[in-house]
Amino acid sequence: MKFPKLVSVVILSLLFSLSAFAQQSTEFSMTRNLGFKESSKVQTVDIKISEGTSALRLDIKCGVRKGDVTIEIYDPEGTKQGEFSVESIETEDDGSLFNMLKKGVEGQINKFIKNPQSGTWTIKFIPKNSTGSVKILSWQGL
Amino acid sequence: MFKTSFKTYLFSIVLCCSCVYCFTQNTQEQHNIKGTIKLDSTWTNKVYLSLIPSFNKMYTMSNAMIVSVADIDENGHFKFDTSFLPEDERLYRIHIAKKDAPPASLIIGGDDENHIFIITQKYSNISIHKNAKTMPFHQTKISGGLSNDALDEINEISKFIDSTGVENTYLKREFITKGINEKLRFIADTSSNGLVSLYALYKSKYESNYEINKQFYTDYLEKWSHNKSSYFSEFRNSLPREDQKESYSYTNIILAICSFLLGILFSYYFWVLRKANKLKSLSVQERKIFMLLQDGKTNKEISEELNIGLSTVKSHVSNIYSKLGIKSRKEILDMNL
Repeated sequence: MKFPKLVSVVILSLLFSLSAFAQQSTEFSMTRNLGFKESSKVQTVDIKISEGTSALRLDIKCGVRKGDVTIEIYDPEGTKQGEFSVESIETEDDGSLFNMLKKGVEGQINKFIKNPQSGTWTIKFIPKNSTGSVKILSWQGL
Repeated sequence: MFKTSFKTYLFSIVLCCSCVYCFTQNTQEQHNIKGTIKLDSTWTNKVYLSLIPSFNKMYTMSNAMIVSVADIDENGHFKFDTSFLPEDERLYRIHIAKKDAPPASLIIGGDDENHIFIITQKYSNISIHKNAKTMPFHQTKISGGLSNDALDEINEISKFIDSTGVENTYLKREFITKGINEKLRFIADTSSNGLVSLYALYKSKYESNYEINKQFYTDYLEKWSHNKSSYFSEFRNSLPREDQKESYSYTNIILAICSFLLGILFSYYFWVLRKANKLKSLSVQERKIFMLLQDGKTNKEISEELNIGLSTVKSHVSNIYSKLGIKSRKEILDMNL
């Protein structure tokens, strides 16, 4: 009878340690892909950060074939925490340096924030007659 | 024979001296941006130079901004010719691109941050050195000109804002960020180079500081009033100008006066003209009686003058009262037509 007791104790200990391990590595990630064609519609993506979140990572990548796009990141207080713009200008091919760079334009911002302010973080996406795509990857560690 | 050979020797010596002189002159006048950078296989072997036309465009990537491309050789060396650049100092960005990304690509933050900013002009000689393969442009040493040393210093200070998040709470981070921005404003205030000064100010997020530190920005604009570059023009335009505010307040006063006058006109219309228009609603006989009432005549006098009965006059007067919305003879006497 002693052996099963010992086994159950070991199993219970293992379960407790696994749950503790799970608590330490709790994380939440989200990926959003937005495609747009000759669009000028402003869009926002909200990311809710709960109290006690230990880290927030934002990777935003935007590729544009035509037009301008501005990406802005705002914290819950409405303060701008980062931004970038991409502008792609279409021209006729005349063999110049400018035309050598006609493969579109790409911008990427990587933000890693320890102990981020709790509340709603907002990513604002402002296109101007643009064609392209944007990929937003967010990761939260608890 | 001797004379001919002497002349030949002399000509050869003069020719050699001229060549050496020309060579040294050319060497002295060569201006460029050169550098060494070690990259892993995920990056292309090209480096791009972009002109940043305004500080608001520091984090804008456009294929139109790229002014030159240089190859990175197998030893990591690259070189841009600067002979076509403008003679005045401007802000430029040097960047590299990933193999799977277009040449016009910008990465901000993280291990793959792919750009640095430099201040240069046509006659600058700038060297950029970066040895470690990890993190391109991280801890890059830029030599050539005091302005780039200052940019280095500003970048080092600015990095603290990102690194303060490592162990601190939000409130502590805010406190440290404020301190760093204060330091950046101090650099902006004391720098003798306009571009360096503006670079520090833009890094300090001046937009959020303007309202609480107006005097600093007023003094700053006064100090740099002689600088007519596009960078300063843009900065001036980005601040809410006090004289604009004054003109706004004058406009408000004028608008208020106009509104007041319009109010009087509307009142006049409603209280006088409308009453006058109401007279049109009176019958011919009622109008005659109204005119006599305005002359201060009594019902009896009106009855005698118009040759009608007293009760008829009273009936007409009652109708006049109700049509004009009045209650007494005094109001008829006060009406100015």
